[in-house]
Amino acid sequence: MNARELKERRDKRKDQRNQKNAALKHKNCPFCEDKTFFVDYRDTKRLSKFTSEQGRILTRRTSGVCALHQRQLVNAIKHARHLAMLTFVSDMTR
Amino acid sequence: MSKKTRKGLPGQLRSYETVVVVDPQIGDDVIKSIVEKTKEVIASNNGTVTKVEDWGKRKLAYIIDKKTYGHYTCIEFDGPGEVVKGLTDYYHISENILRHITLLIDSRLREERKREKAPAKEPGSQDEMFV
Ligand SMILES: [Zn+2]
Repeated sequence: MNARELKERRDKRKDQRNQKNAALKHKNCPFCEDKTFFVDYRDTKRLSKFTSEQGRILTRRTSGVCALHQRQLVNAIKHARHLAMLTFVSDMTR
Repeated sequence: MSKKTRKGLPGQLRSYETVVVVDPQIGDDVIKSIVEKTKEVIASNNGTVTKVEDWGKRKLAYIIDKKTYGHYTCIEFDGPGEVVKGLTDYYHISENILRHITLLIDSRLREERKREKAPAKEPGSQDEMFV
């Protein structure tokens, strides 16, 4: 077995590993799964799914949202809160 | 090299949307007049109104100035960055406005809203299932 064959084999394995990782990473984000271009602040029902019971924004670790969509989501929630379409703090804790 | 600012290039037209929350207790006529005046402000700053959406009376998520309901109106327009300042100045002067916001409409957001209105059928998705 020569050096080139070895290299090819190594690359192949690397590719497979990367594919696996990519699949795992992108599996979770609900916005990516839905192929959302941009998170809309008007969609309050959907936004409220990404807030805790007390009304706080969930972290990416808990919700599984990707970095791109989390950036859009945070802004959307804040716009909706300003317009009194979402609560800052839930009624329970107030 | 021209510097890109949040206002955009001087004289550049960009698409915005502004949402006003008015106290519904003051009556429909006053709400109408407020909407008309905002339109005038946009027009006087060389902007053009493209769409007016009346979202109607909605319950507020939290109490603002002892009010539990608000009348929402959304106005979409194209115009230069000066319109935004004109609008905020107008909103600050006028009474009975509970909340207001003026946002740039991202081109991706517009695409998203188009998609929501006409949910895309997925051609070939059925075929894939049988393969
Ligand atoms: Zn995503």
